[in-house]
Amino acid sequence: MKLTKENIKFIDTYLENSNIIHIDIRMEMLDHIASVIETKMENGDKRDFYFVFKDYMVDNKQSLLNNNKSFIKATDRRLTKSIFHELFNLPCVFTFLGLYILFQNVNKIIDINNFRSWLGALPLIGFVIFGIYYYIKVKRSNLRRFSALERLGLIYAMLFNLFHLCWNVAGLKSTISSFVLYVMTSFALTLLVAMTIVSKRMIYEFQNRFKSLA
Amino acid sequence: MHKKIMYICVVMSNSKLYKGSLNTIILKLLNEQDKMYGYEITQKVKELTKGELKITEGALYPALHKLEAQGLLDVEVAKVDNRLRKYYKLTENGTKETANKLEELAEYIKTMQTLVNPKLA
Repeated sequence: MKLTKENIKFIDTYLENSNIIHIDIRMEMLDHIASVIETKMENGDKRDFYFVFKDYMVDNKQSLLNNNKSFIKATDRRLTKSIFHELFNLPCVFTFLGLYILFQNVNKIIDINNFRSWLGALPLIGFVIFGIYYYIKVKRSNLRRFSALERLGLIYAMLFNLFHLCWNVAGLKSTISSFVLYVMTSFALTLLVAMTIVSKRMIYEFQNRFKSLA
Repeated sequence: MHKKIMYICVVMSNSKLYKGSLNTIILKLLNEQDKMYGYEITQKVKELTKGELKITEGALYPALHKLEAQGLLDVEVAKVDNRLRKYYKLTENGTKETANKLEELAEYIKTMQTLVNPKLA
């Protein structure tokens, strides 16, 4: 016996209210629960859908919530790994070297003391641009509640704050040598390139995976 | 601690010996079928072991997500019976890893047999 659209909607709402917010994990849990209930009903459980569902949730809700946590952890691992790998690919290696050489050469023309303050602020400007790009892209694609995309946003926010902290609180702008400043700035901008590539790939992956089902 | 609890519920069977083999079991099943979804895997294992081994969702899905994150599994989504279903299938790396894992498991069984029952080994 197959569950009705209303039954499916009921399970979906229940899971959403249980703080399983990401569509990709919720749909898998929903399918699992629905499959278990259908099997039970096919095997002779004559009770109404609601009672079979309730009994299942009493026994398994905690385990489902743990699944949610482990899924998010796996997603974070996957994203971090992707960004790290991307840093060693040609586009990022060239970006890093190109920026470093550019900063060195510009330094020959412009006095370092005038140059220093805006150079250090470049990663922050870059992060803001990336944030705007990311928000528009995800919103346009209507993919807001997919785990990998939301977690990427979180990684972005964490890095933004880290740079902000290093730059302003630690007072790096006045104390570090120009070599460290160039390396840091080049790396921060390269990291942004890596994140942009990874986010583009993720958006493409989710669009592809779900486009035929919209 | 969380991991430990998770693994304890890997199998409903009274033996904890299966716990380290969950990934190998999943990979082996996917190697034999083109693609499978989570519930189907639990049912297939139950059927093949005549109910001796029951994989709970608390153990299965984290393992599937980990294998996916490692690039050993690929995912395909299809609409089935009013809902979306996530199918897992092996990637090229996954197929290679399955062969390695099965080899490792065979070695392990052989070693254990030598220790436990030398006459049969």
